[in-house]
Amino acid sequence: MKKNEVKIFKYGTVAPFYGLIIAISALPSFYAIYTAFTDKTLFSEEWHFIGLANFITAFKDPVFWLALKNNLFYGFFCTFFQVTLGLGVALLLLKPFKGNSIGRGVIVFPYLVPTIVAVMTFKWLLNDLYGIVNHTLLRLGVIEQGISWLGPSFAMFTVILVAVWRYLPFAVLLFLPGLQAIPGEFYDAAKVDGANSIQRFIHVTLPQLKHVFLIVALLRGIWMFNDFDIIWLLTKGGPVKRTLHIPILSYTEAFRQYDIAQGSATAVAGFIILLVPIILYFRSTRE
Amino acid sequence: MSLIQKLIQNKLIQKAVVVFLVLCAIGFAIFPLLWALISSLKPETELIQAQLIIKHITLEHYNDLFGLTDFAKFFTNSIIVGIFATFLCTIVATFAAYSFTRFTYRWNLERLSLLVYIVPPVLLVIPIYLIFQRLHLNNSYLGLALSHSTFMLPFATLLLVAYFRGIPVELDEAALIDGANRIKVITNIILPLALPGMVATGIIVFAFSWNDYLYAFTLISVPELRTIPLGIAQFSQSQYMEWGMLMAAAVITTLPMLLFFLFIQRKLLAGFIFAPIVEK
Amino acid sequence: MRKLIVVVISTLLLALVIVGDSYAKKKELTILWTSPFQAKVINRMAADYSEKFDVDVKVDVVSWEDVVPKVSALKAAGNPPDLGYIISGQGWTFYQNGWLNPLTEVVEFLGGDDYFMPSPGYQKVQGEYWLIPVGTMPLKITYRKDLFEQKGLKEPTTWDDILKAAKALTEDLDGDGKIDRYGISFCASRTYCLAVWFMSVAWSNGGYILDEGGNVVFDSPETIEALKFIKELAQYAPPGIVEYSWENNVDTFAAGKVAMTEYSELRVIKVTNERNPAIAAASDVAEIPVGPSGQESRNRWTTMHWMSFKGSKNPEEAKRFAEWFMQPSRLINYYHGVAEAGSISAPAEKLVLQSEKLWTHPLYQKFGSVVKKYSTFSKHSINPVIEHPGKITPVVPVFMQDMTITDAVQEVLYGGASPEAAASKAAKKMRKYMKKHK
Repeated sequence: MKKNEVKIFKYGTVAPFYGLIIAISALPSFYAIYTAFTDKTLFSEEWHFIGLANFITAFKDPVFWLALKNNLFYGFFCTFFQVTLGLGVALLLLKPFKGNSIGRGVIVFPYLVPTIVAVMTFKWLLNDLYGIVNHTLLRLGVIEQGISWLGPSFAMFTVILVAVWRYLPFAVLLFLPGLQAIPGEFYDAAKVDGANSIQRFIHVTLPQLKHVFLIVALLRGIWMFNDFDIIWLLTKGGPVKRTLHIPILSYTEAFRQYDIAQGSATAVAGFIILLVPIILYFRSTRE
Repeated sequence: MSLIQKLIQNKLIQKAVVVFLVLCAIGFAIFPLLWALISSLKPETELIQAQLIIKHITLEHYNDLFGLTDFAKFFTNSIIVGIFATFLCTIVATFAAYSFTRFTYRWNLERLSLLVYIVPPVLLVIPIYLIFQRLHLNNSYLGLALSHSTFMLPFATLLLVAYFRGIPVELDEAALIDGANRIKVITNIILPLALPGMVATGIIVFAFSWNDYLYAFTLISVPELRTIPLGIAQFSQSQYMEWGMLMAAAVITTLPMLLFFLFIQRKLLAGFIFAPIVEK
Repeated sequence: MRKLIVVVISTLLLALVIVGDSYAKKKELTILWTSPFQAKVINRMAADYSEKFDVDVKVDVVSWEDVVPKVSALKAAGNPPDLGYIISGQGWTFYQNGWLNPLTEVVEFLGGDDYFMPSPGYQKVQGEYWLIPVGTMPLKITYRKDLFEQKGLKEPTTWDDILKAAKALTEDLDGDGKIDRYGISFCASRTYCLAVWFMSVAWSNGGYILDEGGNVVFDSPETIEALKFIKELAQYAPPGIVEYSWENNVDTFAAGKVAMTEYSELRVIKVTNERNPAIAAASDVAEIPVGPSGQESRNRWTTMHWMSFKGSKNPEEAKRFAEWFMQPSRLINYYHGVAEAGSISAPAEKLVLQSEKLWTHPLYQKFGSVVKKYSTFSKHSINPVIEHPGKITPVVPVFMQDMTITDAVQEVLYGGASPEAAASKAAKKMRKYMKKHK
């Protein structure tokens, strides 16, 4: 192939990638980030550049730090359980056995249900008066009184539970092909060297899975940190701000107080944190 | 060997434990939806009760769902947009991933593109609407599909890069020497080997499009293009929650996907999933 | 290969062009409808109108929470909807920011004072009518008259009445040690619902968010008393109220699990009638109880309004549609449609209430007395935007919707904070906001 043809192919194949991302993802993000440095409200005609004023307001606000703390907690534990349990389930579904394909089909269910449906179903299951979970636990004598799953003590636990339920299939879906791509010979070689199943897992499976594992962990981390719907629909950040996190705080400022500049600043200040895992990921996969 | 060690090493027990754990996982995944199925068949009077047994089975909620709302239309629209978005995303990501793995670039663009996930999407409503409206892409299947594809593009590309990297360049070169052009290399060599990964990616992109509320809400203002999440929002806000219809909607939106997925499992993946990929 | 690429690209471009051009050249009207459950009703009416008058009516249905982002995006792009059917607080915010066209023409066409009952939403501001109210939604207590009579209790009118009744009606009915029915259910989740309920109680005790001079007085003794009252009342509510919003109030009342609940529309009655007709028949409505420091019962009033947006493309057509929609016979059809769909509306139009046709619908027949109670406002229903007569303060609904008030109440109920501390924290936040945005 001639050199020019190669060049055209090389750049031609990435042009749509660039074009779409810049036009549809990057530009709106820049707009949102720029707004953080202005005094724009939803109703103002003009905007004025006011530098870091909104950021300072955010950093001075104890509610911001509370939201950030909750956000890190939520993001971390959701990701942790989604990834580890996801890997576990993928391992379980790896070897062929009767009913395996049904298992693989069914495990995707939570991911395909619209979020509002999933959340409302859980809300109903966990209702204190007529939810079947409390009903059963009471019947079995495990608890004396109905647990308030969305009350101050359990709210964070419940939102993490629902989030893990909802997004576990994502990890399973991506780990399965990755696990299957590991050639059987590697395991055989390890067995010959006297490795038991746990050692085989640590020395063969994990290293082979490294790329996919890091991608899954990183993306789930970013998406769970920014996840708005699940907490909003379950508790709206309550009760008593126990599940309040940055996206909800940002939304409240932007669309309930109509202060879109402050909302953007809160979001930007919050997501600076996200740059940390992203940079770590870049470093760890440097070639 | 002690009794415990003997037990652990017993193949039958191992298998039983695995089956038990799988059942737990499946149970955990499916229980809420089973509950939705049961509830969707309960009449209004029995709805708000913690009973698993239905006293009178009724289809009234399904009737309401299709009669009181345009659910059939929402469903069709979601399918169209979903398939459109999945194909667009997969094609663009495939070409980009091929380019990133076969040619050298100064910066690692597929990873840089991850930065677009940083801003909480809820803040992007206004700029996205502005851009799409200027391009006359709002209120169209193409526009919505483009927004979904683009959102998932960094993810899909990153993933495909990981899968493509596992395919040795020597295979490409062998085919090129044999006179194939680059596109043929992609379709005949790369795709078959990367298919399981691509299907997984495709499912995830489709699921995102299927469940997306934000972009649909921003870009669609006409009734005939409404997708499922928009449709469901009509009867499931805090003031007007129609439980029966919501449960019926839960069933309708997952059941077909389940059947489709099972079908795909058997036909498409059975061959590929169990075939090991060539060594590096 | 290159040929294929060219063909594909040109087909895509062609598709783009066709899609872009397929929007008809005839007269159009875009309506932003924000009462989603009545979507079918408005779609039917829009189709009717389209046919009759050869206008392409497009109805976009969004939920209450999505109105402001949606309208902002549309306005930023230069095409706000022609007509909006939007809730009161948001409508007044749009007015205050100059986003509306006046609709005085429509009001006069319909008959003005001969047509509309006096209400907190039927207001001339700066010589014009900007919002046209449809129906009325004051907050009221729905209670089980049969249970009250059983216990020899009369309709609750003061805080003491309600506490006494709630306590008496929280019972363990089958002797198993667990409470089967609670006295009252109200929303205590981090939602607008809680702010509405709390402010109704506070206003009935003389506690306001702003005083007549526009200063924040949320930390006044009257408001603090209201916080204490809510905490006491919560003892007689199911523990799950921490997650309750409007729908949960409906559900628990319909299931017979509570003897009282609070709601702004007759949806409680309608749903109860569907699930438990006997309970619905035995229910009645009462005003929000008066507190020790209050003069009379006050409650949060709201309703849906028609409004026309400045800069929209078809303002004249918008007016014609509003005029068409609001004519008594058509409005009655609308109300009947709503009765099928999700709630029983309380009309606020004189001609509608006087018309026999309204009462022909079975639900209006069965619950006529309750509907009439809703329709005749307590003379002192408060539209949050107009806490004090004559002064429009859209910042009040902002404080109700941005969780300031909600958080204060939750902190007293669940956070162990003292009412004084919670109120003063909220008041501080409000003063800060007003300083920043005035």
